[in-house]
Amino acid sequence: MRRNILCWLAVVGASIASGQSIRPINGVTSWTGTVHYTAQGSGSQDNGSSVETWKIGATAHLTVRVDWNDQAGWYEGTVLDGHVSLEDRHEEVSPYSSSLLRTSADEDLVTNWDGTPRHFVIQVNRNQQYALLQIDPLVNARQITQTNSTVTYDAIQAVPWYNGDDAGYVYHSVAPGATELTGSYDSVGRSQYPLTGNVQPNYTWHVEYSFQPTGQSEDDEVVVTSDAYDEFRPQAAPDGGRGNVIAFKAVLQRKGGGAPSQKAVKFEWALPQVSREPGFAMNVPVADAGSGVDLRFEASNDLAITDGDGLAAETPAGLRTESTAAVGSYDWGGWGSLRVVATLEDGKRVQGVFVATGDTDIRLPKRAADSRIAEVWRKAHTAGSDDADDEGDPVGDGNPGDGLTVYEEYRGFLENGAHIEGDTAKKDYFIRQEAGGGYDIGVKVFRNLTGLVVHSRFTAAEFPESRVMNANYSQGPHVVDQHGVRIIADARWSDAAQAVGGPGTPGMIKGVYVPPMTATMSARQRVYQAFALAHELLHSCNVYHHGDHADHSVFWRNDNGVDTEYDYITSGKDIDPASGRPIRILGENQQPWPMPLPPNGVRIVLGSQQGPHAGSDICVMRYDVSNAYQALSDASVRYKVREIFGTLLCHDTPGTGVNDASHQPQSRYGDSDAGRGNCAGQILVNDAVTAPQR
Amino acid sequence: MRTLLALLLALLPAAAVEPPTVSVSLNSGAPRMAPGAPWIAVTTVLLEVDPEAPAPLEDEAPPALEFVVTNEQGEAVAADWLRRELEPAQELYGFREERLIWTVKPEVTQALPEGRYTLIVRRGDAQAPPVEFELKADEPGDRLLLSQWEELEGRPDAAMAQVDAELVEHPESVPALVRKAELHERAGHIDEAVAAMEQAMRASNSDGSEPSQLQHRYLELMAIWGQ
Repeated sequence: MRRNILCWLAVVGASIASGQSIRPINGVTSWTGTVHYTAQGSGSQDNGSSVETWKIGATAHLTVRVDWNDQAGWYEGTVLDGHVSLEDRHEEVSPYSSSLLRTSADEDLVTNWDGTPRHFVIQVNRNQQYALLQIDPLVNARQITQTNSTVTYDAIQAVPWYNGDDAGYVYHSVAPGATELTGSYDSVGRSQYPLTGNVQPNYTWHVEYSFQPTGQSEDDEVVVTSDAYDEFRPQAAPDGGRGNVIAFKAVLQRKGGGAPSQKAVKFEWALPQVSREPGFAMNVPVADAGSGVDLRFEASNDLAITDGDGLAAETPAGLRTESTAAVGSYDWGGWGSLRVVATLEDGKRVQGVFVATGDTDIRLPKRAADSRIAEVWRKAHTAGSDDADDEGDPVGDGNPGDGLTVYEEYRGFLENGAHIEGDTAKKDYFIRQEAGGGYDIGVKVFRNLTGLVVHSRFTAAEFPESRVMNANYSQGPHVVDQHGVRIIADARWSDAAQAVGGPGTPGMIKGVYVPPMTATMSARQRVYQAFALAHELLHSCNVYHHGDHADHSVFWRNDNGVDTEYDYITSGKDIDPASGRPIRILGENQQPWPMPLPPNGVRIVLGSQQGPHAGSDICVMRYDVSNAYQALSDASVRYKVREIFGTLLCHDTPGTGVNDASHQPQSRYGDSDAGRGNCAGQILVNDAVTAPQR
Repeated sequence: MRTLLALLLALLPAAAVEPPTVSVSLNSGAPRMAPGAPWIAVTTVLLEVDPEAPAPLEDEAPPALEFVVTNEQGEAVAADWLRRELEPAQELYGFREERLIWTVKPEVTQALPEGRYTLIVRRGDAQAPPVEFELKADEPGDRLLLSQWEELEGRPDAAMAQVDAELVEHPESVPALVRKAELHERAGHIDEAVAAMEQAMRASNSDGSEPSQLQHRYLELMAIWGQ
């Protein structure tokens, strides 16, 4: 493009030097108008050992005012308003690897990428022909390199959003006396990413523009209204079809009201900027989410769709003074902008102005210029900027956020067929509960203990294999792939439930495996298993045991009238006969244990100090399977006990109840180990944070 | 009078504070089963209750559970669900759990063709997440499932025979040994239950990194002996 500008300056300079007269078009010294750009392209290349595919989609619009520069002999000015939305993808897949290169932008175009004003020029030649020329085509774009699912590069870089070749040299003629510059043309663009063999994919830019003399009084105007604008919040149907619809009405009238001076031969509606977020909510569909438009015009008797994506529509033939357009929403987080232009009987084009805001490009939904979120939703929620993730409730380990941006919470999720939103004030947590309803109580206990907002009713079609709950993103603000946790009933975990991969944040948890809860299982056992699940789910938000000093499995038997303790050679299997040692078994009342040992002996778990039985004895994270402990004052004395499982979450580290320092005859297992305990103060759910080890 | 009123209020069921959570599992979550296997579904309706607030008096009984099984074409499949109520609803830790067991006889499932099916359970406006499963003729029979079926049918000896057959093939099967202990305990044979649980613990490869549920069950059995 820089090369093009230099060539063009040379041509202009040569024209001036040759003394040819270049003057304002039809005497108009200032023009104001709009330029709209759209581009679509895709293709693939089979290299034998790999297949490359590329796809580009972009829309942009500029509102520009240019003034005649007599010295230079052209119109020059700056962009008053504008926006570009683009995505350029290159994917290469072979049997051994895959890579994805992607550039995307969703940027306002009022200023340059470096903050300077964005310039625009209308060049004029001695034949009174003109050409449009963009001087500043760079924008801040997000560039991502992804190889075999690992993002290796993710940065913001200034890239050309419009690199149509020689676009500045497309000259257009204008009729003598005409007071409008209007028309369209195509030019060729090139992808950022060349294919193997240095083949550079080309695509077509389609450009439409319309300029009128600045400040010139016009007889007629087009006013646009919408009764539902203030309350419109985009939705989608549960199957991804159309959710809700908003209608706009454009009326051609004399300026200030009254019958227009002439009628319109057609009204043209357009959605120059529309989001194409994958899927229709953050988690659905879980595969092949596509990148279809999120807002589109709905056809009616009075409106025909004129492009395949439903982004343009116009009235059928016939004179009229008004038109109504319905925009359907197909995504819970869709956004875009709408405009309408009426073409009058004399060929003049009048752009619609939205009565509520004075804008010609009407933001959908009603939202701030720097936001994609409907204002009506923001009014009902306390939320920061679209990309914020700063919930502090529950406080947990002090790390804010739940891995979801405000926009992602707003766009929401599908859970058991119904749309839900994230909670912008509290941390959200996602579960796929595959272990049967008997475990529901464990999930609810986990929810109540942690204060997290737990979503646990997802169906298989709503919970992706990757467990990434916010996988469907493109231009929408995203800070991290936030994972859900699967609860899986598996007979191989009949001994102990386990959060495989934990403790850690949800992204680290391969699955929470629990024993199947059978139909014939006793109620007592079911409750125990449910609380075991709550325990494991806490590991799935980086909560640790109260201590890791190992308990000891031993075997007690009465040998010839002497209570004897044996070690196991291998854990829990065969006893070591040589390890036998006499012990005295007492109750905590210091009296001998009243019941004789069973004839075949008994398995015992001796809980240890600062082990997993330590700390607060009401905490669900504390173990409860010890049935004896060794006296601190006499190594041969064993106190026989029965533990009770905890049902709360501790907020401190010292031992309480049976572990209290004042407990008699001693604190059973002592305080929580260093760095452990205060389980409520360990909770961490945000996958963006590296989980601290304790 | 105030005492009487307080007593009456205490006798009322507690008020639910959120909509009920309806869930269903089929054959302990097995994704595949053979035609001819019994279907044992467990439904749970879980309500969080506020014990401080008495429930409003209701004129109508809660909505009944509705079962629908559909095939791959989305067509409803006839299944004769038999409701078996083993336990009354239990209230604990602020929740009320209504748990029901439902079965479909093997001769009914035997008539169904292979393929994918979906089980949907509704209770009024609430719907359980659907259960998807597959009927495959070559899927081996699940003896522990058959053991449950026999027990539900009132044949504890046949239930034990299924477990014993499983243990002949897989002597170290922890789920089978746990099931054996469960059946013995229910029959009042505590010595045999302890022995089976001992075997299960010997067979277990648990590394103790999480609290052992076998140890917990063992302690429950030992408690019967006063240990």
